[in-house]
Amino acid sequence: MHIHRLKISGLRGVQNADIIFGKHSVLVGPNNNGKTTIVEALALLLGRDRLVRRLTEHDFHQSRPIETTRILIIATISGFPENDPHHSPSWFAMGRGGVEKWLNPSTGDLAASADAHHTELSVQIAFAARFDLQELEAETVRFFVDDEATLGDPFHEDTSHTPISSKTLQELGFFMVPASRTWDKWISFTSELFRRLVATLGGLPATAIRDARERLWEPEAGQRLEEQDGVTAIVEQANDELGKLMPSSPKLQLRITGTDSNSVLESIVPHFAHGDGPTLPSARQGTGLTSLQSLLLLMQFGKARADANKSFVLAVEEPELHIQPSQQKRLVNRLNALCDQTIVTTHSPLVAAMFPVEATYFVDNENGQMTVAPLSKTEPAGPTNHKQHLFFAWRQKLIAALMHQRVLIPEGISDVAWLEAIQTALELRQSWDSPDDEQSKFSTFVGVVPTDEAKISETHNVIRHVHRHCAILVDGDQAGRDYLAELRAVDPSPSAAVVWPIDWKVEHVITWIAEANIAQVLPQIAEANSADISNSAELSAFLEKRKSYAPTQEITSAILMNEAACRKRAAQLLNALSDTLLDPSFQSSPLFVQETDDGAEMPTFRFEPPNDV
Amino acid sequence: MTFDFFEGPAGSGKTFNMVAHARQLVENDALDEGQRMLALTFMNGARRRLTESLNAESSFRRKFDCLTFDSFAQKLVKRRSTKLTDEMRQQAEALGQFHGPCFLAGELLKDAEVSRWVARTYPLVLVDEAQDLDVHRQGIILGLKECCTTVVAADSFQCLSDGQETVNFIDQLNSAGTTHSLTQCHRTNKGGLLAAALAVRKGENILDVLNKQTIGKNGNVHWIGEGIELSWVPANARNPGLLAWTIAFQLSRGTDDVAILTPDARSIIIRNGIASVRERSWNWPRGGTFGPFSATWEGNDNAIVDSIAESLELPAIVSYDELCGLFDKHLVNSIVKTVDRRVRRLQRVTGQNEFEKSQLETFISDAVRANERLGFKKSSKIKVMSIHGAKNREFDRVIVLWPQSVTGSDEHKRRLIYNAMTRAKNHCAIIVLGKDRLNSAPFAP
Repeated sequence: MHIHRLKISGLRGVQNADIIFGKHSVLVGPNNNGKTTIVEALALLLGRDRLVRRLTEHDFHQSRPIETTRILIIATISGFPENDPHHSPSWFAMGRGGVEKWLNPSTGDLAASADAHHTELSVQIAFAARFDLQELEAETVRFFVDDEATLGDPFHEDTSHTPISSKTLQELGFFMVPASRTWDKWISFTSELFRRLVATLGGLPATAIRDARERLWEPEAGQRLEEQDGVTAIVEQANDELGKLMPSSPKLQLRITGTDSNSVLESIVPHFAHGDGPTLPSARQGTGLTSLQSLLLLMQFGKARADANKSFVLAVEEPELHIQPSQQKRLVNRLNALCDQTIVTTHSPLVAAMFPVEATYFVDNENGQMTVAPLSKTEPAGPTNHKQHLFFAWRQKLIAALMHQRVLIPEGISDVAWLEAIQTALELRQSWDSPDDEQSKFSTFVGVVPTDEAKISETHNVIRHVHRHCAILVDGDQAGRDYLAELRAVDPSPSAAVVWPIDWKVEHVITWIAEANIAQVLPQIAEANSADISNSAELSAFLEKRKSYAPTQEITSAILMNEAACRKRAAQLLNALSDTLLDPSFQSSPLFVQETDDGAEMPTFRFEPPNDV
Repeated sequence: MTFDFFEGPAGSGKTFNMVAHARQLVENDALDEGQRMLALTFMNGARRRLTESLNAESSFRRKFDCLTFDSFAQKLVKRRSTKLTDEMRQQAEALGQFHGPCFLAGELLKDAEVSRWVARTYPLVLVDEAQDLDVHRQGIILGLKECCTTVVAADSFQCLSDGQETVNFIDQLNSAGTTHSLTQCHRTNKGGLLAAALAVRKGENILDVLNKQTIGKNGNVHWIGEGIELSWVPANARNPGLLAWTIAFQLSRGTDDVAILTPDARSIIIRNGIASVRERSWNWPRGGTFGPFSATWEGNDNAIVDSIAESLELPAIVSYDELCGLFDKHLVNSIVKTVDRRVRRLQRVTGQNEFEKSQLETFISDAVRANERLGFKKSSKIKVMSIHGAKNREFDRVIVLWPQSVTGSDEHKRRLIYNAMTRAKNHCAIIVLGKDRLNSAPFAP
């Protein structure tokens, strides 16, 4: 079984979201865009009651719920055994279950009756919450959705709904691993997961627990705490006092736990031993080890379900936490192999890149209107295809770029290389007390998409489906102007465009940075590159000739960023570019001159290099 | 999957046998985990009584849902509304709020996906008093029996809807599976009562099986048999005294578990007569008195609603806070308490802060009806009700008041009085208004 579609409204930062999941999905996107909200919505709807924390006002969109404010989460579940309601009586039955819906897998439409297109048995379930302004707490319900179009307010007396029991939900086998992991508690009997695993695999080790309880309750003579030197005197004095107060003269005895089975279970603390080393409690272990051990435990649970032919759906926030890259890869692959469905959120391009492009979902959130779209709806065909290049060779870089608030698609690969090299070299020079005008915020806000030469339009066509703030950068030549015209005509057009000065390419910009102190840096550049360069024009020509040779870019950038005047120019450029892309509705910097009228669909800015030397 | 049909005259133990059969099915594991038995009745009163008798059996406890056809149909239609076509909706619209949903439920159950969906929770269906069902409610049974093990009880003679065609339906039930014909009457062993009921059922003259007697100075005539007494009083709406005296005289013989039944609960003369019985007393010729008797009408919801609405002194529009203040003084009344809870919930869920009088009257009326449905109302020993309201019930003594205002076919009249008479376990007194009525149906051919 799996979750086909999820609709969220009124939950935290999400006013509206409509997400279609694949078999295995990874959710990426800038921070604070609502990735966690998606996973929490799943937990509210599908999780065990104990996975769901109590809702507060802040869980309601905009934090000020009134009487009619609602959180509503609706999921379409499909993939039922044999595609036949007869095999899932707790999901499809009057009085206790939902009603059959038939899903068209290619369009995602639901129909009341099966036909040639609507072939996949599905059910819709919902979670709703309201905040009671008198009792100051949230009221929640989980129920089957019979007809989404006439749903009504589930809390209103005029509507009736069929509640969904947690026993039924257990058949889906949803489990969530939140980002805030209290790992050392996982392998103990306070952990629900561990209890469930032990129960699934054959019951609690009851005899062992009962024996431990007996030993702790009635320790052997001589082993009792109150009989130990130093304690005896205190205990006897206390007993004397008690005897004077109470006729039955109760005798004080000291025991290690509450001596009931539950106390014994709860006092179990997981320990790990490495080789012949000491056995240490998990709290003393590195977080990586406990993370890993606990995820393995979760996988055992999933395996037990899979072996029993039961469904297992896992939502994991940031699997990369505390785990080294080599382990991440194996872990994610193992999880995907085990689960009916995995839904992963990540900040790691490495983890995201393990999923195919059609399973890589970008989360975008504009004032509560969330869109979640896959990088590509279908698997790209043909190895010569530009998309193929973008999606395979550069996938990690592409995903890393898309995790930024703003995305920039340059015309050529050398723009990408130079922006990266300069940025990296500048950052290496940065310390806490670097002057403000030598610091760049570019890489924090803007991600640069790797692109093939002259594929700006194709790349934009891919990116605009998943990221609404996607700008382009073109050369100052005729070809660049042609791209501007071409992309201005598409719908939607890029959110902004930046053009280098007339007849300039990125190499001229680098030369402009060098010119901040050309006398100082030119000989170094010439020497380091073993080239004969005597002036600015020659420098531009040389750099252009070496445009696909990364060492030239790296060496040159390092030399430039070693020089304070060049650092200042680079920072000035990058910050102005960053400001312009963050809000392209007006001209925010004299360095980027607005060419288009106010309110243009694709505001266009031309770099105007100031001569401040 | 089996179909069992229990048929037989009143008091022959149809319900008893039907429940016993269902018990056997349940004990033979007709219900899996999570499954329940569905018991359907036509009216709420019957639903309450069937619930009681099913609850009395440990095999059924917490394993059944007892619903009226209407409420089952509403639930089904609400949940499966996406399967309805515009054409079905239009037809249902034309049939109105009671028949419409039942018609739609019957249509939905023709879809195998829907009937299997019902059967997945309710593999076993019980229907009592099936003769009362109109064609739409019949459709529900015919749909359910395709997927569910079904047990039905009916006596076509006891159908009280004039002109309703039940013959076809009973034929269908007869041929759908196993029919169990019951003949022995278990409710009463009073020979005169049984003979009189049989005469009515056969359309013969009831006087032929009774003994004529003249009593008193006035030479009043009545007819008696074991467990039955038939008498008449002049029909005069202005002077209900004689009718009241006759009723009170019957009540003086015992007031435990007595029902006064009439085919026309709106008849002025009968209402006045009952009112006198409740108010005045009469002298015995040899000293002492009898009456008044606290006989109460069943199903008198509107009067209760009006009196509560009046006592609250509701303004045309009232704010939430004012309303809470008004309710506060009347919270001892369980109806007001129910309405108060509903209003508070509504305010908290929707933020509604102003309430119109008409909305609140609807709430009061709903609360009264819910009370009635759940059977919370105290029932007095002497109940007055329509013959329809007494269906499927039994009382120690029955007093039937038969006014001239009864309309309908002869067959219908016979079914009405047969139903009324057969409610009695021990004694039935029939009081006919107007002498000449005894020459025609239901008393004579």
